Amino acid sequence: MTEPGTASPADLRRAQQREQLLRDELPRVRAAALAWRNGLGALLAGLLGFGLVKGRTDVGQLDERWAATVGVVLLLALIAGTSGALLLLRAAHGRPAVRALAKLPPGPIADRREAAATTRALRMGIAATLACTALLVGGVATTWYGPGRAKPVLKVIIQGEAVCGSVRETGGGKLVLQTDTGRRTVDLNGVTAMLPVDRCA
Amino acid sequence: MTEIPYEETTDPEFAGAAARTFAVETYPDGLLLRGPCPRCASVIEVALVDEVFSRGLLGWRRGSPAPPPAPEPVEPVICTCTEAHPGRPDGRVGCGAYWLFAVPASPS
Ligand SMILES: [Zn+2]
Ligand SMILES: [Zn+2]
Repeated sequence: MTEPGTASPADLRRAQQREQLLRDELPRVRAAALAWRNGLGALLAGLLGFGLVKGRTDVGQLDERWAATVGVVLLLALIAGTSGALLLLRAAHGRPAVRALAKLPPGPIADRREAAATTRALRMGIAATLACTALLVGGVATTWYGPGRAKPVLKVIIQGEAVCGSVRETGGGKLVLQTDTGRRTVDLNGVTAMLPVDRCA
Repeated sequence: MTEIPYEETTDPEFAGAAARTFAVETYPDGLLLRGPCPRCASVIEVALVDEVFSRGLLGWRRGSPAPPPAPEPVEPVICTCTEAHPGRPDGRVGCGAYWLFAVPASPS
């Protein structure tokens, strides 16, 4: 074994600094987690309120496939937000757990380990919450700016021919359709089938 | 037994005594030294770890300003007992004793 020699006051300061860093490491991480929890919580609460209040009225007017996408995005946002909240709570307040005393490492090591786990939870919680925010914004933006639901059009069969378009006017036994190729006037007496469709094929 | 006052002091004898009496345990997180303080005789535990949380946002930074590949062969150790030692400043622990401890090169 090498002879360690005599310690200097610099060694004392270094050992004191290290001891203090380790001793209040866990409270420091918890305090940081608490601050993040509060900040991100406020941000999310605001966004959620905004998104739900503004979004719901508009989602019905969205193209169906886009509406389904918005649904999936909002579900993902919900999952990310919930995990984020749980992770931040775990980081700020610790995990409620009962552990076998025999398996518990000695105090300083146990604290170090808890601080490391807390930091991991804090980082993942921040990432999940920010992901939730992004998804939420994306979902709401899609609701606002996504393509609108197509206006229903009418498809009529007349003398074996299909005519499809939006209804312009009706009256006097006539039906005027705006088709892709221009206006078509259809004599209703000759119509053998008439069905509303989402779009002209 | 009279109370030992807090005093930041070292003695070549401390290092020798600690080298004889301290046990070193290895954990994935670092090393744990355990033994009686050479000055006040309280049994203390000292952790020597690589990493410590220091910043709210970015997480890890090395514990000491100049990052050494921890733990070094020789580490300074202070007494970390929680007994009463008159004259101890607020925020400090132990009796004030400090010494150098030769860490086993590759503990297993
Ligand atoms: Zn002591
Ligand atoms: Zn003591």
